[in-house]
Amino acid sequence: MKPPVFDYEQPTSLRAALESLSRNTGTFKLLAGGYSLLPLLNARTISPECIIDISRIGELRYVTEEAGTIRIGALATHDQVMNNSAVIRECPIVFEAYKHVGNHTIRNRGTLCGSLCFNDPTAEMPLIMSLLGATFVVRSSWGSRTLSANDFFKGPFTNSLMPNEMLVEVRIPRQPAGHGHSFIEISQRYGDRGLAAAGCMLTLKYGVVSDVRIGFRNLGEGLGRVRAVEAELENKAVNAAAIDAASTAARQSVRPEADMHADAEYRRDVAATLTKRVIETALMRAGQTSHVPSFSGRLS
Amino acid sequence: MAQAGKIHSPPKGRQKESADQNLKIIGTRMKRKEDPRFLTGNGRFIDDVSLPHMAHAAALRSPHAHARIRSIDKKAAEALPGVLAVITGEEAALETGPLPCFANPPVEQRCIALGKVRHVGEPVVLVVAETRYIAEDAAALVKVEYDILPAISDMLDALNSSGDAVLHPSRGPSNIAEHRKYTFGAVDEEFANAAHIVKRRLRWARSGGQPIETCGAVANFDEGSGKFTIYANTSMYNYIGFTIAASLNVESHQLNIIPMDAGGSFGSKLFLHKVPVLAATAARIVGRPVKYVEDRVDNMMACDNHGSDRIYDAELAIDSSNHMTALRYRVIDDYGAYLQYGLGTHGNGFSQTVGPYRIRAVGAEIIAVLTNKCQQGACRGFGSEVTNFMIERMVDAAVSELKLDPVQFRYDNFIQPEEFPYQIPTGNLYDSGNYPGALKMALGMLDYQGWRRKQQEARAEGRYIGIGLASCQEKGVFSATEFWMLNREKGFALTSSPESVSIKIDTNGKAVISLHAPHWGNSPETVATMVLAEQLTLDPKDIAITYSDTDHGLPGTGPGGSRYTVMVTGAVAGAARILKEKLKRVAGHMLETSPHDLEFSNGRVSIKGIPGSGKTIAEVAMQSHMFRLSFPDDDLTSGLDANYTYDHPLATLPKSESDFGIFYPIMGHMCHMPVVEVDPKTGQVKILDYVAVHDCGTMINPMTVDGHVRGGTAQGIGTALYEEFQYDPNGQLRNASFYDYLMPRVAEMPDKIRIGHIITPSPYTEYGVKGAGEGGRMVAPPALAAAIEDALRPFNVKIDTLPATPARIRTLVRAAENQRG
Ligand SMILES: Cc1cc2nc3c(=O)[nH]c(=O)nc-3n(C[C@H](O)[C@H](O)[C@H](O)COP(=O)(O)OP(=O)(O)OC[C@H]3O[C@@H](n4cnc5c(N)ncnc54)[C@H](O)[C@@H]3O)c2cc1C
Repeated sequence: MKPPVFDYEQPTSLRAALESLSRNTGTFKLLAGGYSLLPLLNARTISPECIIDISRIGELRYVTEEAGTIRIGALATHDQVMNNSAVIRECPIVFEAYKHVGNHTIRNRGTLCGSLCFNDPTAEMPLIMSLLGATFVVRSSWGSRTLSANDFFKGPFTNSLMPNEMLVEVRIPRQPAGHGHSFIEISQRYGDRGLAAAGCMLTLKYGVVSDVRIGFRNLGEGLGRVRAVEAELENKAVNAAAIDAASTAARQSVRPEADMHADAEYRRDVAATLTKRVIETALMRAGQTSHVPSFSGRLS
Repeated sequence: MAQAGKIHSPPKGRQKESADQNLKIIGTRMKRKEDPRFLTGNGRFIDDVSLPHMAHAAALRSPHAHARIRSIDKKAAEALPGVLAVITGEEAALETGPLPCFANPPVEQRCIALGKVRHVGEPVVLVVAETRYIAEDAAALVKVEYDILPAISDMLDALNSSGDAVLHPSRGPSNIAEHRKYTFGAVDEEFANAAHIVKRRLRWARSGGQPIETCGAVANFDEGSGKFTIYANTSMYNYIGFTIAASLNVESHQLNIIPMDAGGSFGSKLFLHKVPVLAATAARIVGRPVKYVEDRVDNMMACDNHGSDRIYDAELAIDSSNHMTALRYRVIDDYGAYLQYGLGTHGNGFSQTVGPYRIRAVGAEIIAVLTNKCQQGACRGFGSEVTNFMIERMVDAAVSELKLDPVQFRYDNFIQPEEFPYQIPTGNLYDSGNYPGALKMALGMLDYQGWRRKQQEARAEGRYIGIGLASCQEKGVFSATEFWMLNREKGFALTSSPESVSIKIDTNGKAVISLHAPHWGNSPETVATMVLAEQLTLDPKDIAITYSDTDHGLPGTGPGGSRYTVMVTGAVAGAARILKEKLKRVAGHMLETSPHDLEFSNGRVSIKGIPGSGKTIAEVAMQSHMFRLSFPDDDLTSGLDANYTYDHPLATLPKSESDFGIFYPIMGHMCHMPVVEVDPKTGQVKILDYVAVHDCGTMINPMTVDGHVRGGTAQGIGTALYEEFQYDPNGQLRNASFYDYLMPRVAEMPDKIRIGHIITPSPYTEYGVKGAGEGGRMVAPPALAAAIEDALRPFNVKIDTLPATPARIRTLVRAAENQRG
């Protein structure tokens, strides 16, 4: 299990990386943490002519908060994002979901942006960024553009970057004060790629829910937020019937596929259960002003 | 026919060291002799071997499950700089013959596919190059044209396949490799008289040992002498290593196999054949040393050592007083594309086919089929783990259908402590045991009543907790008859399974023990050291261990079948007896006393009853090695050394097809009680508590036994909940990576496996030691299945298929929910 022959470049600045991208005419791949790329390379599933290793670009390894917006550089590791105090305070769902991303070794080296670019249908962060309404700053040596999650993510394992572009930053806007959140994933083992996952954020005022954001992972192509499920709750008084309706809507909206770990019917069925559970948990947490999650996983 | 029951005139046996003596070192939790080396990264594994001018090989794997090889175009590969040879099956076959096979009639297997590929991953071409990188680059350039043949993936399809779908037409026109029926005792009569008959269909999925280190070999061929030297992480090289020489078409003395530390095996490296033959074949062709180490995909697809893959239709007969009287089953076993050990894994099961119970009769119909999958080999339990699963599932089925208590039912059916040695209907003998005692200990350790209360409370909160219980046998110390006793034509009906050691006490009184079997991830050095230290009253620090190759090897069967501790203990004790005699004789001269008046204490040969008297072993050793002329000119020789070969402590020949004689008599036992919580909505299982009570007779080192219990249990948890090689209908292996082949990791393990030991020493082995190597995996699967079933009792589901994945569990619960409406 050895990689095929490839050229290797290691730019140390963003500018050099972008130049390298526009100069390269053959097939190439950016290398960040390598946790998704290198296994594919070693298995010879991919054989790019050139690897552009961006991991030494120190200027892109940041997580900062400015005027309520959290900015995450291309090389910020999962661990840096997960444990950033602004992230924990402003969008606790990130921490909650991160507990399901691999294990500490993976989070110590893998990057958020790498995960978003790779867009594995089982990866947690693409969903979380969709729920948070994050935007994606994309650059090439000719300029930059900013995309919504909807525009950035394409089908499984694809994104909308042009060959000469790279994702340089993700921006998380200020989240509704006192929102409730929940992320639940079913996996066979701790840290595995999930069989199915659901996330929910909502705001609760005087018994009425608003700004409902619900989405799934690994339950069908292109599923980020699912409006049909959200609509069952949006601006409604919370009660068991509404939650059941959302749960039923989830069962109907998801388009899961079978794989070796679970059949489609199982996934469809747990989509309903997960929906109910994430809504109930988010409701329980809504309105609690300072919800600082504590790490309850057994291992990191 | 073998009559089940207590044996009134039991075989004598050859035990010399009884269990009831005062032992100083045996039984202590001495730290492992192996640890410093391994824990500091100084183990020496196959990939650490690097010979001058060594080349590297990589295999091109078959992408098809079943196909004829029409043509192989290797020009582009050969043209790649750094490539030394691109070897096809035809080219390999010019000098290398078929691989060893214990089935009779045999199933021909080649190290590189010859004419046909029969499973995905089978080597089609072996590329040898200056580096592994180049070898893989070149393999990618080889163009192979295939004529696709129908692939058999489902074992039921194998029952009636014909024509091109037949894997080995030379062996007959069907994919049924064997179809045998056995009757032990009055099966039909017992069923006719039964008050209740319980029936189940059970499914045990194919999994396999997953060692961290894959299989590998480094081979060199010396043209001058025509001799091969092969370094490999194999085990049985001093037993059946000569069959590798036969494959290579050289004399057995033209092959030296040097064992390396093995990074895990779980049975999968028991008898490595394909990998060393590949490396050696390549070395002879390129005239340089060649290293071939499987990568993970090679290992998962083509290691030749997948585990059992069975469907049982089983029936249990129970009389009106709730005693089990007979068991009858039809089992289909999917052996994959080849048949290395024949029906050995079912013969193995016959050693304990009634479990710990007084079942009087057993009927077995065994259908072994060939399919387009990697073949089966040894995997912790060697088939008996599935037998255990079947028995315990049937016991639980009886308990739930007859609305009985799972504990009381077992107490009522156990073979009782005073009934040993006990003969089971197949003819095998159980040497000793205390099954009710083990269950009682487990119940106490678990706080069974406490958990039952918590289960009730949880259910009131809508949580589903379940308590599992399984009482299983762990047969120890195989006799070789199991390899062939189920063959249609017996073939090479070997009956030996010995183990040897060579011990030298050097000039300074330090001892070196040569083992004739490898390090395999177990603790052979610790065990051999402790036994010798006990025998000679030496400080364990003064004992070193080496491993002999085949050139210097004495008969050694190696680890496998929970035998090695028993066997190496016997061999060390035997060699120590020889050494002690000589030490006493030399010391007798030195002290001018009769050797009969001498004994060993505190590293001395001293006058009986006078500790501190006499000479130290070091003094005697110096004298013995260096001062021959101080002694009379008789038959005394210089030096202090001994070889000893210890044979199976108690085995007999099969008498008939309904009495296989004694072939696996050193009978361990275990009782596992896990507590689980199941989420019926998602099918997820969490283990809340786990108690494991084991009986492996006298323990040489309880600490290493505990390690085996935990490791085996972890593997059993894997088998029960996660592990399954999944082939699609076209015979593609869908999960040939650790991404998708799931094993429990530390987070899936219970916080603590609480271990209890009950000790019923074997009357036949030295010190009463029994085997403990396979234990946990042989009992955790039925115990967990029972726990899950117990948790989901309100839904009345049956856990008859493993692994019990979330999707499988949820599907069962949903069906139950839908039925209720
Ligand atoms: C054992 C294991 C378990 C894992 N478990 C999980 C899990 O549970 N959940 C999960 O989400 N992930 C999991 N991962 C994947 C992990 O999160 C990866 O780190 C992540 O998916 C990719 O990040 P990376 O920095 O390693 O990217 P790389 O592997 O270096 O790159 C991934 C892809 O993104 C591209 N890329 C990287 N950065 C950029 C950029 N700035 N702009 C454009 N393209 C870019 C690369 O070219 C490549 O195609 C696991 C990985 C392993 C090995």
